Amino acid sequence: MARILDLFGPVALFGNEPEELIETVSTAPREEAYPAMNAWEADDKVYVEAELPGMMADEVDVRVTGAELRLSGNRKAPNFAGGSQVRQERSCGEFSRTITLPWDIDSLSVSAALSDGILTITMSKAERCKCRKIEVRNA
Amino acid sequence: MQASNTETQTPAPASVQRQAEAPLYTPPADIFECGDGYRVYLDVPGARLGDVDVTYAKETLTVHARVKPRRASGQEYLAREYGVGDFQRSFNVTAPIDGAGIRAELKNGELSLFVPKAESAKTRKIAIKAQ
Repeated sequence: MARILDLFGPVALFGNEPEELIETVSTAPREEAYPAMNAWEADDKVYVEAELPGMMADEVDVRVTGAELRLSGNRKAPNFAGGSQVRQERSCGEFSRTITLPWDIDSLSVSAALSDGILTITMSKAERCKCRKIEVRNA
Repeated sequence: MQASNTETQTPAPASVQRQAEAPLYTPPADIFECGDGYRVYLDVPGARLGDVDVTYAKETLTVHARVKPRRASGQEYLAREYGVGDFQRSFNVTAPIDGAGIRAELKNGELSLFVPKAESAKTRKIAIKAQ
């Protein structure tokens, strides 16, 4: 990023050392695989979440096969004709990521919702992967 | 923090302490410059209208976006590749701008700011008259 700013030299709006004013810690590594995902389990349901800011539901494709979840889409670059870009930190363009869950998923149970740039995928484990309590009989 | 706190008690220190302990994340930004100002785009996924504060004072533009937890605290992560918490970032604005004219929009977790240049810094097209 500094390199981009350097091209614009001292005229850059936000100066050469803007980071000094950040009062915060750095983020967790976000750019290893896009998008980063969190997943958790509750009551036989599996939740997978991804941050997709700026995206609309029809720009995201979610597919489930067996234990594989594939998430793909295309994040449009900000369209700002006539301006010159002085800083670029956000990634855009096509992405696709496949993760393998610890269990097979009942594909009919999968639902996905995109709200405020957060994609939440809710799934049920396949019946044969669910935990069953077995009644023990006196014999 | 107890929900039953009354105003005569001192909830403020607890609130401040809680904020200090919560993680803050730096939202990535894209910035474009054009003749009349700057467009700043910040990713603040999970933040809703009313949860975002944009302030400009002493040549510092600050964005703070509050993000509520989305997962019940008792649930263990199967995978955790990013943290969930408030976003905050400050920019030192060295160019002459019109602080009162800053506009902000939030859509789908993306914050767009328009920072107008001060009149003296705007690009002006000079009309050329025929003699």
